[in-house]
Amino acid sequence: MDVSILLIMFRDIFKKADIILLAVLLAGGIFASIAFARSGSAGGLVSIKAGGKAIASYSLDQDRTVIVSSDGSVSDLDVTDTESVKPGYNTIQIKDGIVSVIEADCHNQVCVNHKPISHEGESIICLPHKMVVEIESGKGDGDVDTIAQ
Amino acid sequence: MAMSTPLHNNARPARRIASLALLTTLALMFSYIESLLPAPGPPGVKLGIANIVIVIILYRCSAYEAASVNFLRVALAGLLFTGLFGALYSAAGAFLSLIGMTLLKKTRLFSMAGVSMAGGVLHNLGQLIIAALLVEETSLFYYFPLLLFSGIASGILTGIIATLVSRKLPTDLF
Ligand SMILES: [Zn+2]
Repeated sequence: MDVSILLIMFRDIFKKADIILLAVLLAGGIFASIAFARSGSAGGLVSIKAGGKAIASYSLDQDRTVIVSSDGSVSDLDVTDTESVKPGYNTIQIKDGIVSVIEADCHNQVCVNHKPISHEGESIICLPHKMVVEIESGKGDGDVDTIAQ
Repeated sequence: MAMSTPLHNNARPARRIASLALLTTLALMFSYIESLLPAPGPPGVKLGIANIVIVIILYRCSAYEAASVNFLRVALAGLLFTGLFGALYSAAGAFLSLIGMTLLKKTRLFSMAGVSMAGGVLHNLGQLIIAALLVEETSLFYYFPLLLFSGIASGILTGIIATLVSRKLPTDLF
């Protein structure tokens, strides 16, 4: 199919206002991407929230694995007694500066299938458990006091 | 003769309802097929092929009927396979997208594909807003550019299909 036929089909389907709207939307998207990319550099702090409340923050540089329960409690995974884990949990792994949810008992498993995050501003959300893991800026202006909850 | 116009519009309510019921089933099937396909990207990025049906109803019937079919589809899909959260998401997306598409259509400046493109973007925006409200987390808006671009792409694609299908459909469908 040569280009002129495609052009005729294009003109047949779209109007001038469509193209203007497309340009405006694309410009908005590119502008937002640039703005977000500038604000988020290599992050430092992994913050865990449940039900809108911050329950824990960890350094992105230290490897660890924790279990967050729906009641807001957090425990380290190296406890081998896995039966003590309450229902409504998410197991969060921080390894080599990459954060992922490796296990959860939520019904949709969106958090487990989410791609691992490593940059400031990125987050993994478990909607059924109202749980959010987010990478925040840990460096700079006295943000350190948030570490121990 | 003055009576003929309203009579014609309401002359076949049974046929109209039957057509809309058929299209609701079709939209639901599209949603089902899409739920079976592997996700093309991060959560929220979808093809939204059910939108083809909704856009056609918006143009052939009315915004009211497009909204009815869409909300029936969302509710049935929620009961059958997407679950409560999925339905809540879709309902928010459907609500914003239908309002936007109805307004843009009224300006008569945009084509069906252009209206559908705006619908795709607003659908994703609606979902993003409800997700941010549900988890009380504004950092979700980092997904905005991604969902904007994917909404543009899926809206244009479904809009082109809707345009081509609509031209082939009989004029007395409803
Ligand atoms: Zn989950």
